[in-house]
Amino acid sequence: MADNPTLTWEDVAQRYGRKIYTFAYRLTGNPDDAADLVQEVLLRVRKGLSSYTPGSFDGWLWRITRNAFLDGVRKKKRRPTQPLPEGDSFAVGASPSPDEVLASVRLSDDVQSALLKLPYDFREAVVLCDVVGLTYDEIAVATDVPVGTVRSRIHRGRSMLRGLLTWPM
Amino acid sequence: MADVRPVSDRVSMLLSCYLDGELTRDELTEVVAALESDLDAIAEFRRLKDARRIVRTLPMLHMPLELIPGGHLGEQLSAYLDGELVTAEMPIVSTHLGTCQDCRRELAELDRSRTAVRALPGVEPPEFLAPRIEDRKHRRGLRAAVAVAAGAAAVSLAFAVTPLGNGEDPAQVSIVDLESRHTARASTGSAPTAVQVGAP
Repeated sequence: MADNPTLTWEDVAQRYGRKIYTFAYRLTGNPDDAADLVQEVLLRVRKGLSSYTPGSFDGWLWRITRNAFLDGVRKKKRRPTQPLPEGDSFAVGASPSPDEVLASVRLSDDVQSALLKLPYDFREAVVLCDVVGLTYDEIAVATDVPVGTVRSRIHRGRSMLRGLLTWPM
Repeated sequence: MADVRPVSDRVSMLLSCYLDGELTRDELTEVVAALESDLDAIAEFRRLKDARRIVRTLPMLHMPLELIPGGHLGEQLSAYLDGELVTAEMPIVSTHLGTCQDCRRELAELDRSRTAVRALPGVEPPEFLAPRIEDRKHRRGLRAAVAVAAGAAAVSLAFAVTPLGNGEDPAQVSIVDLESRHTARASTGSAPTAVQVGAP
């Protein structure tokens, strides 16, 4: 799509909202966090569209999404007194990694559970590839790492997943 | 000591990239050669393929509709009525219904339609099917009668071997009623041979 200069944020909401929501849900297992992320991403898209220069729209959008997601995780960490969904218990401490914050989120099924056990970088790469459907180049832009790192993360994420899922496939 | 891993990390990673069509020409040649000659590479390929497939089969979720300009629930309403929403969708749908009059109205209409369809009476079968259905009923009736007769016979026999003497008044044990009731039901089929009840 997407290198269309007339794109509005409403178009982005209609076309990408579901993917953004699913991305966040698969990373956290938490519908409230996923809904918050959609809202935040759409706000950032609204502000950023006027300065968007044609290129990889998906890379641009998913970089915004990923950054919004990580900002949300950090913000949640800074406000530990905020009520959390049942079953969540975010650790209080200095500079927690996304892994630490996300380690305790609610699990919904075996695959979701296995995904949540992956280190954050691997989980993110696998979700962007297999849930969102980005190419390795787009994932590299979104996550700001070289393509070689993307390859390695996806591969290691898949290897770990297969080990975590003990049921026959 | 030799490397105990069946395939190297490099080949394993290339197999993963191969699944996504993300190989250079040279890498593709290397992977194809491995898959043609190395059973361990094939096993590793299947392992990675399984992991990729299961993540890809996870359902795409619906985004919170209140965030989409003019967004409404649509097909989610029927799923909501039938209790078929996935857990993650429930709070979204409930929240949206709390604020959207259009969706509440549509939900009420869908509920009325659903109730009306569920209240439809059963339909009489076409005439040409009637003899076969009767035939089946008859056979079912016979089977039931035989079962009842067998049950009655068993009850009768049980009482027949129970000693009723020893100072007990047989009249206080309603064996006769019980027996006659069972015999009457059993007579719709082949009646069992009379069994003397209450005889010592």
